[in-house]
Amino acid sequence: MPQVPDADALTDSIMAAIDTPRQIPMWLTVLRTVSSVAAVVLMLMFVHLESNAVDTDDASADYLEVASSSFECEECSPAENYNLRREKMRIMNERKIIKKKIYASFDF
Amino acid sequence: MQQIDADIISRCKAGDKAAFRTVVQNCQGMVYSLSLKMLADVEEAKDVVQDTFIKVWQNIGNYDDRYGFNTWVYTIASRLCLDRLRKVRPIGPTEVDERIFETVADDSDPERQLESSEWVSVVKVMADELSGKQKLVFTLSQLEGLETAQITEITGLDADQIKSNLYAAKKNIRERLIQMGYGKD
Repeated sequence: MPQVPDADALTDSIMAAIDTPRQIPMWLTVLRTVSSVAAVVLMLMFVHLESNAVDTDDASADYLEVASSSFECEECSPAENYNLRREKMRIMNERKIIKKKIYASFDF
Repeated sequence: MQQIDADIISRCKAGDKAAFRTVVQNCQGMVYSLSLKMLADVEEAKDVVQDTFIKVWQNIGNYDDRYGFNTWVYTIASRLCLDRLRKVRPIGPTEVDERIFETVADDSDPERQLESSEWVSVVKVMADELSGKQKLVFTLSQLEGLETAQITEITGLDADQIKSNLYAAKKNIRERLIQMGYGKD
């Protein structure tokens, strides 16, 4: 068996190493905290976008349905028809916003 | 191979550093021997000795008394050696290594203990082309003289795998020796 060179010195260095508690450098602690926070933020963003996401097929079908229907009735008064048109515009705008969100989620 | 007293191990588990110093003093020779033959580098081997005992100290609470303590230490050292072999690109044998090898091979005293530097050259010349596993199995079996059961515990390889690795290692070394003119006529 080969002899350990400076066996006593090697023993001393091992004993010194186990005496020294493992120090975690400050930069590593900071990096670990920042990356954990970033991971949580990304996860929350993902969950948020997922909850806002609307199935694209359904959304486009609704949009077409709204756009193609007149939302007017012959028996209604002009004021009622005006309100219906406003409602139609509101729904269409809402759909546009949802569509934008879907695109945004694709970008993400 | 010197066996460590169960009492010393119990004291180490309780955090007794004086007892651990005894363990280091008794076992560092075998760890150094293994790592030197695996890595063929004195400084790397000393680093492995240090890393091994730090790991032993950190994990001694998990040591299961049913298994041999030396085998457990060998297991840790073997893994560290294999890790180093994966990370460090080995430097092949130089002309100086070959000259030292020839001197050792032609030595008329077969009982003479080789020095670390001689081991480095011998390993570089003989085992340069072996894979990490082959080198480990060959070292444990042929150079450290361990039984197959112990090698199984250390490496996690079964008897057949040990046999095939050993066969491949021996074949490679035999070819190398023939190449150097030490083959049987």
